[in-house]
Amino acid sequence: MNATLSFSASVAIDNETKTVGSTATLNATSVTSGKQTVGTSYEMLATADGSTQAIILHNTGAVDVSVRVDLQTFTTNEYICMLIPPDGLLVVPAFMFGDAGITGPNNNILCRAASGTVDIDYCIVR
Amino acid sequence: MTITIAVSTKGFTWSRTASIADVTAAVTHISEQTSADAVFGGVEAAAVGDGLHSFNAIAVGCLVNSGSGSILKVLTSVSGGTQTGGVAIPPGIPFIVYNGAGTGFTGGVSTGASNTITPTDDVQRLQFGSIMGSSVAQVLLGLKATS
Repeated sequence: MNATLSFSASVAIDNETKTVGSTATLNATSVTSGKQTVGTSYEMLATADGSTQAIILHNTGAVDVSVRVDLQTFTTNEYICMLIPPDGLLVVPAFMFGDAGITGPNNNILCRAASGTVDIDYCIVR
Repeated sequence: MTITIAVSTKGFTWSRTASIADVTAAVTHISEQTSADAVFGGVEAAAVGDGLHSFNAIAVGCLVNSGSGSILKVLTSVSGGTQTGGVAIPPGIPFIVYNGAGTGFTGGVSTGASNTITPTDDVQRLQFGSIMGSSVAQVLLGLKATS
């Protein structure tokens, strides 16, 4: 099935609006959405079972969320994590790089809150 | 800055809108990659000759691959150009990066061999190149006085 991913970002400063946007048509096998509450330990949102094309995450809480992606190449483990501030949206693409040159398809996607608990809305396109 | 992402397919729609407060300046940029790892969004003008702003970091950076069919490689880097990570995005897929805003973690990105890492590096610039063929990237950078 085809899934459409639409993106837009805009900001108005001094009566001038700057924007950027895109639309992608993805040949998807499934699209799922949901909500997960995470605490201060990394908790799994999605696994490598059925590789993902894009995972969109929305931090609905009042504190930062860290998204950890596990990159594995043969026997070497590498991790990359990215911030989602309160009310922020993040897209985890299908392929990421670590600073040690370790690359690979994303194995697992995990999230944790900076403190307390946070609800994360997610949409996974496989 | 307002960011909206929607996913739709037959019988299904998911849409969320985010708001990043207190953005006081912004930069838009369109760049064609014609050599390896062109750099934009940087603050280290003397080092890389690409200074588009003078803030210490990018509060929120949005980048899309607007090329025709190529895979875009995007690297994030901190002061001095040290790479902190990166992504490969096909056409139409956005890449969004933030920096710490005082609501928990101290930075926007980290990489390493520890599975307990949290974001500690403030992204100062975005660097991009193509994995295959030439590519075009469009970017919108949101900047704050504290970023």
